[in-house]
Order: sequence, then C-alpha cells, then structure tokens
Amino acid sequence: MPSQIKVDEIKNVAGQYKIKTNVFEGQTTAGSITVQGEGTATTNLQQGLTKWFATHRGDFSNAVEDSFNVGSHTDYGTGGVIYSFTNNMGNTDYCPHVTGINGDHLISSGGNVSAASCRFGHYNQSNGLTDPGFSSHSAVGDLA
Amino acid sequence: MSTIVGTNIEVTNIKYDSDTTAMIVSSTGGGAGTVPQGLAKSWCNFQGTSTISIHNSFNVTDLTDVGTGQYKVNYTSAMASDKYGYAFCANAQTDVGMDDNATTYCHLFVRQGWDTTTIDITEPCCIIHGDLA
Repeated sequence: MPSQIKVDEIKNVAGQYKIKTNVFEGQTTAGSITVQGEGTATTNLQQGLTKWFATHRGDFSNAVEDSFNVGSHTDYGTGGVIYSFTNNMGNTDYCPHVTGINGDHLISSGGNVSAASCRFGHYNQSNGLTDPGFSSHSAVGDLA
Repeated sequence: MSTIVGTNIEVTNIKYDSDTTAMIVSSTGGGAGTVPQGLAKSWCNFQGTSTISIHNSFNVTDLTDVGTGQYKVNYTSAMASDKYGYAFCANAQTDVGMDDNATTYCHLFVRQGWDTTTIDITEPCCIIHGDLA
C-alpha cells in the first residue's frame, strides 16, 4: 500500500488553495474523479472533458489551425476531412460535434467513426458536398 | 510561493474551496478557467431509428421517442436552468436542432438538410454544457 497523508485541506504557505502536479488520477477508480458542479449536484471530470478537437481551414489551405489529441488529418475530397487521434477513443460510440461556415447554408455530419479516427462531411443546401471556409470539430466520450 | 511537488496525486473527489467560488485550473497559455464550467455536463450517442436506445452516454437516464425525427434526451442530474449550451451531430446530411429544452431534458429535432422533411437518423449525438443544478 502506498504511503498516505490524511488531511482535509491542502494550502500553500501563502494560505492559498493552490497546488501543482502533472497528473490527476482517481483513487478508487483511476479514470473517475468526481467534481462538485456549480450547484449542489456533482459531475465527473473524465466524462466531461473534450477528448479531442481541431479547427480546420477547408477552402484553400486544408490546414489544421489548432488541435488537441489529433495526430494527423486527411483531406477527404470536397467537403470531407478525416482526423486521426493521437490517443484513441475507447469505442465508436462517442459524441462528435462539427460546425462549419461558408457562404451557403451548411450541413455538417460525422460519419465513418472509429476509435482511431473520425470523418466529417460538409454539405450545402442542395445536398452537395462543399468545402467550408472554416470548421470546428470535437468529441466527448471515453478514451481507450 | 510554496509548491507541492509530485507526479501523481490520487483523489476521489475534487471540490472547490471555501475561499473562492470555483476551482481554477491554469491553462497552457497562462490563463485560467474553472473546472466545472469547462466540463460537458451531459452527452449521448444513441440509436435513432426503430426502437431508440442509448449507445453510450453520460448523465443521461433514458430517451423518449417523441415522433419521427424527434427525441428527448433525459438527464439524470438536472441542469440549473434551461439557458444552457448544446451541440448536435448526426451521421447523415441532416439539420439537427433543439425543438425545446428544459432543465431535465433536451428535445432534438432532425430534418433532412435539403428540405424540411423530418426524419429518423441512425446515430444522433448531443453534448450539453452549462450549469448543473
């Protein structure tokens, strides 16, 4: 059994509740830490975190402008992009989200979801694939 | 400034302290945000055709099939108000929007992307951000 320090509060010498560390891990279940919500209800740290995101220029540069946990992306033709993750998801039942913008009404969808990657498509009002000027993609769910 | 140095800190619960109103985390760029405000409070990936069912979820107790292209995702722990943020996605060329919402559920409304026909889709997803009750 690892050594334990049992205290109710931890403060620095300045009296602040401020600590530094690199990793938080659940004590009972490594992947589950309860967090007090805004009111009286509690929520779960791991389940509430966005597991990956990317912002993408689809119209001319095909560049990812900012990302987290995305190892690479692939231009999947007009209106399509595939993101491959650095750390895979735990299953295919996660929740992707996408928003895109260009001069036309734009419909965006996630498809071909796998634990290692996710493909998105962007459609105009005529149901034709179209490249968005700028799009944002993310997902919540379980990491592997 | 004093520092507690360690690679891992094992905890069961993290709560904000009594001196401040929220638990703060530092960000990569040096800014700070509050942990509860940054967390998704609910998400759900579900089967939207035939008999609807949850594939995977967080803070979702069950689903209600309201009609063609309409689903209610019911929360286990309620939100504090109905003015929360929501995001949807579908594996089809569809418009997915909010028909109405409450502190205890969100009501998804799905139409074909190129006209106003309401349709069931195989795998709708929703993500909820905001304040828990």
